[in-house]
Amino acid sequence: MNRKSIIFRSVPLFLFAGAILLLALVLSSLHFANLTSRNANEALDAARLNSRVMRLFSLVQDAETSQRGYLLTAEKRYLAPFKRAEALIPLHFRSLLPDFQSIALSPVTINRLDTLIKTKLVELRDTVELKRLGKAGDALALVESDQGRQAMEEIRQILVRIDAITDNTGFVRLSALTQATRLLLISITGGAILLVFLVGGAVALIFSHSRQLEKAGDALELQNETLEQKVRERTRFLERANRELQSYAYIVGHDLRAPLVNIMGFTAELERASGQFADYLEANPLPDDPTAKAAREAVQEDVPEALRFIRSSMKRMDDLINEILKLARAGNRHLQAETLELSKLVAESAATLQHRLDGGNAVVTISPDLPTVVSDRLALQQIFGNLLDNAIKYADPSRSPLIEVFGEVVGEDVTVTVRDNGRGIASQDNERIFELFRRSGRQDRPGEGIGLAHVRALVRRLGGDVSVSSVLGEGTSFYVTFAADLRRAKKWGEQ
Amino acid sequence: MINTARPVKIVMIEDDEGHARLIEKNIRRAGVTNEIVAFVNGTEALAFLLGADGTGSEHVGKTLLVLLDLNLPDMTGMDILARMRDSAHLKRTMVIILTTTDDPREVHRCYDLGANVYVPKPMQYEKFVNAIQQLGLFLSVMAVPEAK
Repeated sequence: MNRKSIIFRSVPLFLFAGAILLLALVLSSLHFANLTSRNANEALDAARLNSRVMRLFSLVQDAETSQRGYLLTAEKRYLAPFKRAEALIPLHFRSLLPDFQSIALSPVTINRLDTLIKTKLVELRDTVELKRLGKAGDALALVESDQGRQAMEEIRQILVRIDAITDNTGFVRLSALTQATRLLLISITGGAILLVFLVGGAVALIFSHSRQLEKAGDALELQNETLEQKVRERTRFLERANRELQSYAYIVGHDLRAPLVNIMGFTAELERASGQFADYLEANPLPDDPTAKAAREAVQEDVPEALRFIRSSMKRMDDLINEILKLARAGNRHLQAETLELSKLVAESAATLQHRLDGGNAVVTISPDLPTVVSDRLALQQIFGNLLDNAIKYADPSRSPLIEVFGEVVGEDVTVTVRDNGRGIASQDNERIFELFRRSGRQDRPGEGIGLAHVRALVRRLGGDVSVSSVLGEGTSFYVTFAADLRRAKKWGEQ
Repeated sequence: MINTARPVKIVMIEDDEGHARLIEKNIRRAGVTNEIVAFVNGTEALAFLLGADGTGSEHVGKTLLVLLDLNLPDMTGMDILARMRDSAHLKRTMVIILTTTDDPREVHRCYDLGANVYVPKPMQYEKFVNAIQQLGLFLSVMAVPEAK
């Protein structure tokens, strides 16, 4: 794995070096192509110069041939080529001057050639002129002076030299062209081979990378699945524990009732019997001795007092059992998800407490921006009803109660805050208040210690939780967080 | 008022002796003098109701009224109710459910199984006494079908 990864890590380096090399090959190819084209151009130029030099020579020859024809025939039509050559030769010579310089022909030679051509043309023109004036003998004498022939000969020699030079240049350029072409071919071939390697390397790299990505993706997916599985198992476990707890509460509540019926029933029997005894004593007064007095006291005061305490305790126990049963039943109730406007729902809950609000001058402000949720109406009514009821119940008598309800959406959850300016809760009681039958602060208000336990059980069923923050003597905030969409939250729990 | 030719026999199936005693006392106070047969578990009660042959034919021609508690140690009252309704001879026998449960779902199930009356045992004793005595009055005026 380690060695392999080193290899794979060095692959990009190879690719980079290859790319640099390829760039160099492309540049050298460009250079060789440039060289080829330049050599080809120069070879072509040399060939062209060669033919133009020949053309100059041929023009001079034309002029001479035409002169000879005229001298022989004295006919004017033989003079036409001479006239044309005479006009063209200087022009042609001038056009060749830059080329002569480019092949490094010495200025002496160029001047000499110029002079020679001019001399030749003067000789020709003179002979033609003499012939036209009818002095054929003079003309012939001028020809025979060999002046023209010598000039012509020298011109030929110079031009042959130039021809040799241009031929040589052409040859040199052509061989250079061949060389450059070969180099170009080599560099292109090298580039092509390198390109094949680079593309192969890149493809291999991409393959290996995508394979690694795929592997990593698979691993991640597996991890996710395991995680989801774990979450599901945990949720299922919690659900089961919750259900067990609820059925436990139900059974406890239920089974406590049976002995309670007996205690109540036989208490009533006792009351009835003692009543009968009291009636009997009423009708048949006992003699006035201490034991009789004690018996009368027992029947008329002690027994009724004991029965009264038994009854009030029974009543309290019965209330507690009823609350437990209510809690258990609320936990078993099938939740019904429906779309609810929270501000409307909270306002309805507040309205049911209106008579209590009016009594204490309490003000409830409900934010109109409370989100809309998909959740259980009854559960939410009970939650907010309980919290609002508590806020009113535990108001601080020194100031008029102010209760605020506001909320926000956090991801897939909704958090609603119920804030009051009531008497507050001591910080050590922040968790305790949510426990069953536990209460906090001065016990000067009626209550079983059920409300907040009920709220917490309900909020948890709605896929959330409730928490509290409070400053003793200043006020309390309850934060109710639950799933914005109960159907999604339930899916987790029920899978 | 009770059918004197064939007196109604009250079968009370109640595992809590205290409850049984209270029920009996209050029924008597309401002026009901019929014979009461008490059972404290489901097995014995079923043995009596269905008889040796398990069909309930022993009670043909007699008139029974069953006071049934739902929470029994060995089975639920609903099992007994279901067995009675399955028997050709006991299917019309009057069954009054008397229990501490007031869960609406349980009430519905009992009526679905063929209970005639469902009386929750109220916690306030006055209400309980009242319920039992009303039941006693009720027993004294109603016509009870005999087993066939």
